[in-house]
Amino acid sequence: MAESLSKISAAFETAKEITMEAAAAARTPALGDDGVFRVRDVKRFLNSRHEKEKLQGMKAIATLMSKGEDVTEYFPEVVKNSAAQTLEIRKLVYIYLLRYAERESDLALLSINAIQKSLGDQNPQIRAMAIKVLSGIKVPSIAPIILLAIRKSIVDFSAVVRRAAAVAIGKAYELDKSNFETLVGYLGTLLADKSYYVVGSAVQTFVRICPDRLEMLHVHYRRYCSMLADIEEWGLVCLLDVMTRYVRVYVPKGKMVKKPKDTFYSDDEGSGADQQEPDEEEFVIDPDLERLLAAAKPLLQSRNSAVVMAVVNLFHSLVPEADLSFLGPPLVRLLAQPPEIQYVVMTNIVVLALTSQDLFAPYLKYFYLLPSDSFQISKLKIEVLTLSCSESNVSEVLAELQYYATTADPTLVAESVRAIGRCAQISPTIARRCLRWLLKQIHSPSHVLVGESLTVIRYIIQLSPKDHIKTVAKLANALDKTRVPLARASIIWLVGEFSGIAQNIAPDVLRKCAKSFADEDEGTKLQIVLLAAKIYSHYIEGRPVPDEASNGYGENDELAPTIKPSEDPMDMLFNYVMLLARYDTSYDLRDRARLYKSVLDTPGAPLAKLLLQAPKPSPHAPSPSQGKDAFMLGTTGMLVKGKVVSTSPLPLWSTETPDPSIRDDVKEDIEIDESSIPTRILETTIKRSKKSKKGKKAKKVSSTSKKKAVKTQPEIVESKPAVKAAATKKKKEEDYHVTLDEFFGEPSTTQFISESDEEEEEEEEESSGSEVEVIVEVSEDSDEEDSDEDDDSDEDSDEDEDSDEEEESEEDEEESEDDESEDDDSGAQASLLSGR
Amino acid sequence: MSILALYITDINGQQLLEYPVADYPPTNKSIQVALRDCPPDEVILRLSPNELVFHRKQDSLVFLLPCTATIPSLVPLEFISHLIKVLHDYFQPPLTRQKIEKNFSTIMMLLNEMIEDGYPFVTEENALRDLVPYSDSISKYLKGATSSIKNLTSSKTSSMQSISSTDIGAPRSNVPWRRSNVKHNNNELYVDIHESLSVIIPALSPAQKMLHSLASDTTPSASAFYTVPSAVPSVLPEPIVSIAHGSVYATTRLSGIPDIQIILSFGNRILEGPAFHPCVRLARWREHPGTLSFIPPDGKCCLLQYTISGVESGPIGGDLKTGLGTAKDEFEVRIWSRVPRNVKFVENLRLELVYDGDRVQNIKGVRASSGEFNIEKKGTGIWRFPGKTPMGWSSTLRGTMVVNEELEPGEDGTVQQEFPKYIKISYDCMGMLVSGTKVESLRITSGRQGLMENAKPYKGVKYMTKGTDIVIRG
Repeated sequence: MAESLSKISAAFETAKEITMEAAAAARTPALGDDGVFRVRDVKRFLNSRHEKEKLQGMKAIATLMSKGEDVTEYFPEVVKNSAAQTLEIRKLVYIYLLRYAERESDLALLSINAIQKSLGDQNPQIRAMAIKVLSGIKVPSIAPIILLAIRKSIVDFSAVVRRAAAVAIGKAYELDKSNFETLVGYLGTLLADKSYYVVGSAVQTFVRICPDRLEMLHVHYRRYCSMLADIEEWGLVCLLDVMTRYVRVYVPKGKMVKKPKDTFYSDDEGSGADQQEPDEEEFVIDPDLERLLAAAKPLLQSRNSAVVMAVVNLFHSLVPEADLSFLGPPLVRLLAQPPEIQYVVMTNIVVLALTSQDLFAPYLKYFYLLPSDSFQISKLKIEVLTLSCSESNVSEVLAELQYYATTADPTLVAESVRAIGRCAQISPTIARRCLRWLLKQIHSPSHVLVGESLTVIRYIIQLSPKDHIKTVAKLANALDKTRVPLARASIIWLVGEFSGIAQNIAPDVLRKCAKSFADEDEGTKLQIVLLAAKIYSHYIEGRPVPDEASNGYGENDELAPTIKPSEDPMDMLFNYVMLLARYDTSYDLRDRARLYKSVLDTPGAPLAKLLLQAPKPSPHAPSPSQGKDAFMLGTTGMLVKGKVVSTSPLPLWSTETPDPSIRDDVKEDIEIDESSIPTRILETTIKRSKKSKKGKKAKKVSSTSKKKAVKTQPEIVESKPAVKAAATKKKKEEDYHVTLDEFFGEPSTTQFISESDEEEEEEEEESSGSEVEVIVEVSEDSDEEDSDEDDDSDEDSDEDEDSDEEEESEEDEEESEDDESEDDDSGAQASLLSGR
Repeated sequence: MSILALYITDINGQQLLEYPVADYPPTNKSIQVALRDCPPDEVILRLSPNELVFHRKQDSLVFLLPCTATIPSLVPLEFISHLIKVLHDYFQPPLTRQKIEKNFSTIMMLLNEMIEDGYPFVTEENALRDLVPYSDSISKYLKGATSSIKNLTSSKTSSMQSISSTDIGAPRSNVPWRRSNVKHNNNELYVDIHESLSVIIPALSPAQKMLHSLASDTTPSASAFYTVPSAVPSVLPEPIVSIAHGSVYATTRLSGIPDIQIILSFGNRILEGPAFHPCVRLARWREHPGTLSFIPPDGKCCLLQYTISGVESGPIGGDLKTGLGTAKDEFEVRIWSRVPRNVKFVENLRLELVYDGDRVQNIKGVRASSGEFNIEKKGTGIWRFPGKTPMGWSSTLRGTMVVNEELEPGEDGTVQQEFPKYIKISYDCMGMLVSGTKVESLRITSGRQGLMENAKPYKGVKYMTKGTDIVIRG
């Protein structure tokens, strides 16, 4: 009852408010009602004492800005409002400042004070906004203030502010590059942040300002692997790319290892792995790499296609040798996205299909064309079909392509006939099959189909000319029925091209053509003249033995009576065609005839031989996207014609990688073996949920971590606020935290343990706090040594380490089940061992 | 790796909104010039080796996003998708020029949160709702039914928001995708599952065709106009492709932080590469495939996207016969609806008849037993059935293609008779899913304390199949 009363009164309140607003609106005509904003009016509103009118003024400014008008003249009036009480006004003022401060830097400085004040606001939202604006104002003189603000913000209690600070670092760097080292230091702190919310943006900034400093990620690598699923999608795209690069430089490449572990060899092209020979071979990868792959695989289920593509790229560039068939379905699923995304995904699929033919073979049906596909997508789909074509599925693919070739869309027809030609390259059997079908198409009424078919027939014949004399004969026969000029021209060209091999056919074709010369199209006439020249050049060549040449037209019985002993029928035929051409209306034709005639007139006609009998290079019909596989997946270079300045290519695999112990986490997680991950995550989960459940206890923990912080590196400083933040969480929300971790671990058991073992765990953790100190120092040492002096000794020990490590990891596995402090101990040992 | 600016233009390229991000981004003018020179379906436009423009059309607007070439290629496109989703959430679809022009300041504040330092920043609708308050109070007032009065009075909807207001001072909810302090008077939970169906039915094999023509020759051609074929033809080729792309949407208006569990059954079908909203607990799904357990964002969200291959060919069938009649120059298209359970009708049924527009001049003697047939563009005739089409129904269309006289005759001196290349059917069908997917249960497992004691949230489930590309080849 009470509630409904309050509801009603609240409703009245609103009604009152609305009435008041309406009244106010009636009193002063609203700004820009008529679509025009007069400068005087806008200024008056901005200078008003009423917040409402100020807001209207700012909205007018926003409208003008969105329309692309220059609003710098309002600068003084806008800056005055930078301390406005209404959040909306302030936001709009900030947006204004971000865009125009550079132009009026002196005036902009007036607002700095108010913004700086907001840095200390209670509300994290406002603090975040302040650091964002401060770093975005492009006035070089405030660079020191920005640095100060960032220093304050990176240890802020709220993740929102720290995230804003992460972005601010990048902007501060743009503004003043001399502060690089300081900024990188700050960034290091944020890279170590506990909050996945912050890490995503920190990595983004990392990519922006210091992408080459991959060594900064050593200690975070394993932690990032475990938090991968929680990072927001945009940061994740960056992080996956950075991790890919990191692995290339610092983690050993996967190797094919023969079961009896005596020889190692690296498998460069991945050909061995793909075939999966029943050899006693195993694909072995580093546990750290395996950890990343295991964490990245579930991300293929992301709804964001950019993330999916980043994961695909990660697998494709890190373990191309492995069985990657699981990449198919997520990519295929993206084909339901809007056409723009489809296009980009299809381009990447084609690039993938270029390198691994069988990846998409099981999903052929998804690449069948639909009427709604645009031409660009159709083209790519046809290409995937062709690339995935193999002996086993050739009937399906050919049937589909043949259907497309008979549709109405001419560009599609051309594309699919060419695709059939590419399929023919797979094997001679398939080639014969394609040829049979293509020969049938010569009689099609569709000009495009006929033209393209002949081109492809030519390709196929040229692949092995000797086997196809019959085909040429068939084509010559077809000439009688073919009416399409283009097709006639093509056939005549083909016959001419093979006049050297198919000697019986060519002269007869020429004879027929000479008869119908007058009715032919110009293009066809050109080909007839060329054919005559070719035949004649072969004929001259063979003249010393006239008997052989006469065999060529021995069948021409009708001509026989007219032959005079002195004049050869071949000469006559040639001269006849040349004569026809000479009096043709076409300049081009006459010119050519003259050319051929004079070239062939010289004794032996060496020039003509060069000109007319030049062997045509065996045609190679590459897939249209051939060459695009040089691009990294997901980059823009493959999408547009013309060069673009794309992302830097992935670093090459380094042959000598440092010891894996550099990735030992300085703080809590010391993980050596992949198999210990589930338990490890379980423990962190427990810790987190425990901290949040009991505020008091959490404080205890925080005091220990404070001690830690003082004694160790600056990177740990932020663990204090993180714990505090955790302590403020309500019970409801803890459940959620557990659930986030369920992405990795087993949820039910997690919850169970977290309740029962709470007390014990608490004590253990305190003791482990002191342990951590030791570890930190140790691994710090080892870190330095790695980079400074140990460079070569490391590599020597690398192979020995491998076996050592396995033993250790076994130990570790057992111990990790016992309890946490023990685990840390063994971890310390491990890092000691590996460091020295 | 930066977004340089965002432009929203109308279809003709006239600029409605500009939001520069970099200092000197390419202007809309220069982009429009470049757009005019490039082929119409070019998705990505190259301005210079450093600058690319990603663009996408939505409703009657075009979104242009110039970026540096180093940006991962799907980020800008995904960003536009997110932006459209957010704008839909704020201003309701469809987006129009008027809506953009009325809300410049809100859109500007949204973009300010969504793009930070040239990269997408906060793109989650619920998180943005916390950061950029907006309410079209009058329309909400009028709409009344779903939006409660209480919702109106909360400080969020008031356009005048003071900094000291408790609402903004409260820390952001710990669930990144859910806005804080959600309060609703009417608690509702809807699940909508949409599937879009693509089917390709191949042409009959010669043997089947023979059977077919025998069957149709027995009935005189004229009678096709009067008699409605009662039965679906017995010889039907199997579809070579039948793919359903499904999306599971949850629309929640629940107070507090509810925890929801939906159990779906897919009838033993395999989902190809499902994708989830970040709120869905993947571990639960892995243990019990089909179980979606999540804390929802407030409002509408897409929980799951999936693809299933080899589904039924849907409630509408059709076939295409050619070479009929005395002169063997007629074609016949039949379309019929099956009788699935729970479905009373399909809507927006239409059939496209596609033929070679270069060779066919016209279609003569068109007889359709129902619906309207028109040639709307070169090479495509559309046969529409307005309103609702009942189940267990069928219709026939017969006609002859008139071949263009200017074409040169074939080898035998006559021009080859043309027939439709294929037919394409599309429709909307409420109440069923072709994949047989079902919601088995829909529960709010916890977080009910936020709800009022006596309020029982209203729950509803809706299915819809959209036949998008149902192709029957002739």
